[in-house]
Amino acid sequence: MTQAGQAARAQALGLDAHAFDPEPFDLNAAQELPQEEPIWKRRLAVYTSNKVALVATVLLLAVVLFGFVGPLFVDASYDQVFRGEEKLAPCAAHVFGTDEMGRDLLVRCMYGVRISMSVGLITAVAVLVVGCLYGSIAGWCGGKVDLVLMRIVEIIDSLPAQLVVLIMAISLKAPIDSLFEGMPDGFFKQAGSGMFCILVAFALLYWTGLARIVRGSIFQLKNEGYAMAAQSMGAKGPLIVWSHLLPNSSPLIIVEMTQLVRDAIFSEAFLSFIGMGVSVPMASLGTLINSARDNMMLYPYEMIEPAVLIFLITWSLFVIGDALEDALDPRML
Amino acid sequence: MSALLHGDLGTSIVSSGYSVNQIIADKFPVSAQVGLIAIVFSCLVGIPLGILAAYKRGTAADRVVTTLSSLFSSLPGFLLAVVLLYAFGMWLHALPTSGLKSWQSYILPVAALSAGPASVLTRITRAALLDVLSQDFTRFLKAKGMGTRYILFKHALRNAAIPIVTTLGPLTAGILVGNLVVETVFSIPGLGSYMVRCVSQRDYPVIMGTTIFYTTFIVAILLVVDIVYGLIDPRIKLDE
Repeated sequence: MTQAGQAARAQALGLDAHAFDPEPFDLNAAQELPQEEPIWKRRLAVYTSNKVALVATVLLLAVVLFGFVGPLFVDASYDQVFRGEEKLAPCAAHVFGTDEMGRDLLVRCMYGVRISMSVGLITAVAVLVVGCLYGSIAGWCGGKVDLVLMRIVEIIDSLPAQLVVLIMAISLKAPIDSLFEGMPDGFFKQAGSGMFCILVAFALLYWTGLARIVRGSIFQLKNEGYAMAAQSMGAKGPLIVWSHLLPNSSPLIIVEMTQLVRDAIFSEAFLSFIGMGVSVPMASLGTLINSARDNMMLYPYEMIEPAVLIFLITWSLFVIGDALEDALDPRML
Repeated sequence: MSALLHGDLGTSIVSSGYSVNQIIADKFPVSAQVGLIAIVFSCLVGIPLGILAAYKRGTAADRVVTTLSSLFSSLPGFLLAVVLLYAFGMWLHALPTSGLKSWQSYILPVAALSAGPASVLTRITRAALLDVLSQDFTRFLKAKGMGTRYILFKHALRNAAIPIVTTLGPLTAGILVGNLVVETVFSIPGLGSYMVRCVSQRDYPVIMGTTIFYTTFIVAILLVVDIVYGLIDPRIKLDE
């Protein structure tokens, strides 16, 4: 319809002659759109709107401070024996009470938390490196490389992790013991070779979940426009993966990590409970619970204290993982 | 190594004269019995609760179920076992604390074993059902005038079966491993408590042998789960 025709039609309908004119496009108005909030702010808002997750975050921080900063404010050490003060119920001198050998349970619980959290964090770092590298290679290369790498992951995945850790911890014990002979006294030596075996075994087994996730994410992202644009400008694969694809997969990676830290802490407690973990006199939450089992009727607090601590750690990690999943989910924004 | 390939797992160092194969044959049936009851029990509790939570999504019932499942899945199995033992066995004197003499003595071990798996099943069932219920075909059924309950049981549940069955494999593995602790806590004469005793006595041939046995068993179960896929979902074919 011509312009004149349009005007005639508008007149016939009793409208203003310019009713059918296209809206004038104002470039300045387009620029005055409200500035978008940064993405992390919106994510933080989703996260903080979850009250349970906030409580869990505070609790986890409190437990971490208890384990890592707490020992600095207490005079006793984890293996110090108070003669004549055995089996005390919680009191002013020993807030958590003492065990049957007269050791202060407050300090032992602090070290127990320290061991549990360290196992979780060290495993997480090892798994982060191995899983991201392995998953990136499989995802970026694709094809036959991916086929072979993923079959290896499937083989490892089909084995029950806790049992394989048991076997590995036993078979790694001799070489690690001889390695420890010449080492200076440090945290690892205090915790014992059993603990180190567990860490090595975790690092060797627990990366498969993360590798799968990274591989899947990279597989999907490498066909996105920005990845192709980077490639067309001559960027090499490793650079694109490192500076574009991995940052964009980070929500998935973070959620997987909270899950993993929790699994590692669970498994360490389980292995310590059956007697594979730290060596005496060092304390871990699992060994504390196990040794309290004998006198459970008479001294229930010996059991309750480490039990509550381990529950706080695992529960808050679970809730935080769930909340992060919501907060980092792109569909939520 | 060649003996291993011929099915011989060696002899125990501590209890001399006993071969590992014999020990497994003696002790495993007890563990398998407890484990099997625990698996059935966790399915009977977990799946219906998941269905309930999905059906009543957003209501108080849903919140209670999801909160409980998050609490129980963050309790390590050994902790729950010890707490149950203390509460029901020693404090209330309601249930026997050790051995497997009567049917009552199964209650605590089975409860301790199946709480974790049941809460995992609840979460998976709920998530899978909600996923199916948000798909187009269920909306179409609703538009046709079908009741929510009919859609849930006739259509949604079958489509949600794959993720539920997938978790059953790792779940069985979890129950077998959990058995080590639960049998020790409740002094059940099964393979699990025997293995833990061997760990403290450093009886390496038995630990190795039983671990290899358990691992093979779990891998076999995962294979069975994979085959069951084909039976549930005709879209999945093995020869593709």
